[in-house]
Amino acid sequence: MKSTNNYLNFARLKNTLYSDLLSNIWKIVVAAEALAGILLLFFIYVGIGRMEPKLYSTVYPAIIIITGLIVTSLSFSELYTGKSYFYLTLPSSSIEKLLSKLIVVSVLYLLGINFLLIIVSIAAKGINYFLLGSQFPIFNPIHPNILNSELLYLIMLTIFQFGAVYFKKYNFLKTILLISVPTFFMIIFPAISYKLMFWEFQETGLLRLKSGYAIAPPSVDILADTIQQIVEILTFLFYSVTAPLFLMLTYLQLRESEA
Amino acid sequence: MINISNLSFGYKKNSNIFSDLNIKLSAGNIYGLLGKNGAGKTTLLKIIIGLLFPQKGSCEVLGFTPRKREPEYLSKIYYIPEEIYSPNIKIQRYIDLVFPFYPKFDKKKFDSFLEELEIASNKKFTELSYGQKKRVYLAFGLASNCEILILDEPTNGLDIPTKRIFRKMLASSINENNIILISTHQVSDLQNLIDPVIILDDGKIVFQQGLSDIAQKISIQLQQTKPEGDQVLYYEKVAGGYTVLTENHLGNEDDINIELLFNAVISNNNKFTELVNAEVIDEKH
Repeated sequence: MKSTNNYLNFARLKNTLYSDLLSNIWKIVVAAEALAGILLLFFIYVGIGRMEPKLYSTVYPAIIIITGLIVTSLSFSELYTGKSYFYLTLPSSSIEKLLSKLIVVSVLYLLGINFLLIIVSIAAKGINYFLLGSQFPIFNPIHPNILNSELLYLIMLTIFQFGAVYFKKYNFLKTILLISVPTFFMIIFPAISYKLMFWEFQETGLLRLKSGYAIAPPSVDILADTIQQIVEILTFLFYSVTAPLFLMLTYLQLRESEA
Repeated sequence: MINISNLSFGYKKNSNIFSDLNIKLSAGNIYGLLGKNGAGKTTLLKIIIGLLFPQKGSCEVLGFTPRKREPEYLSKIYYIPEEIYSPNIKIQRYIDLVFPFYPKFDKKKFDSFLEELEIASNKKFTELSYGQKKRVYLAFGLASNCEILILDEPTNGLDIPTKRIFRKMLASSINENNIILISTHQVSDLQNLIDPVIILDDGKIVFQQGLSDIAQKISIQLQQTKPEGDQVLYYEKVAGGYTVLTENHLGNEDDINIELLFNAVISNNNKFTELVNAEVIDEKH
């Protein structure tokens, strides 16, 4: 009875990708035009004020990451609108549907946003130079800060993609909340613990134990090393575990979605 | 082709729409699924296609488990809901995007259906009225040549000439290898097409029979005076008198008015139910 590969077929993936892209083409075009307009105004404003904003350390990474995460949060909007039946009954597997969306919000989005930033920065350069007599640099897509922010975006998008499938409404905000709450507790808990354990040390230089003895606490250097190691481990875990974990969760959630 | 056994489903815990539902549908038929509002018709259709998952029991369609939504299964079943999706693209572009997913899709058939339904394929979905959008989807569904075509209120929004064309298209599309399952309240629109009839009431299949089987059992008469007596199974007041259902002793086979049949089944008349059940028992033997 079953004769075809029901998990991953590249012809079906291609068809799913076409369907995803072309059925949303006008939304993509309108959003790109709106973003281009806002950026152009901002870049001209920078030129008028002869300001030197931290383009590569702050502005461009923020644009790439925030825009991308908003796009990602909207990427599964079909699941919770009137077209959910159409999307879920489209004859492609959950893996193909997930991969198709992933290709759109990763590779195609990054190509699109880089192209948009180049075009807008060229336009801003021209307008600033000819009309205002000021300079504006053309966007460099291979600047190390841009590449780093794109890597960070590629990891973070998997969390927001999960949010896009899991939450029915306000996916972007709810995903931020999903990340913020545990992060807040991860920061606040060690801070309170530190304060409780070492407040006396900060005052007297000694750590008093319950038994009545007082000991010298570990040196600040040792603590700094430990914290550094913890940060390195957490960074490693973030870059290596986050994406596969959330992709798996998104797949399972998509497979179990009902309409 | 469709085999549902002991199926239970509810949107909320401890509040089931279906409990131990059993149903078998075989190829070569246009089934009419009837029921009052909230009886669970759309829910049942969604379970069959894999949009909702049963909580207990099994649902097997064409040898597949719908809840897995395997692409091969989905390419053999086409569902047109009451509320349809209209992408902001031209019909032709939409068809080009979707038809590769349906291996038996017949482009020529689709074009001829579209022509018959007077829809230009260079129009955008957003330029069409609800009824026109529905025509496009009906044409696509019938041209997809899927083994199972599921239609939820297909005649809603269609004008009178289109309903006639749709009936013709539907009749030409059924064959011994496929099933068309139609959920509708507009039974008069599909009066001579749907057979057998399935009636869903209070989460249970209370009636599932072919119209010729039931015509052997019941007789329909029109009389001017209010019907009385034990032989009356059900009656309805109509213009000029009463339509009366009685047990068929003469062996004539009257045309069964599905709306009347539905009302009779839903009325919970014990004698009528016993007659219908006797028919079911006879069929099993």
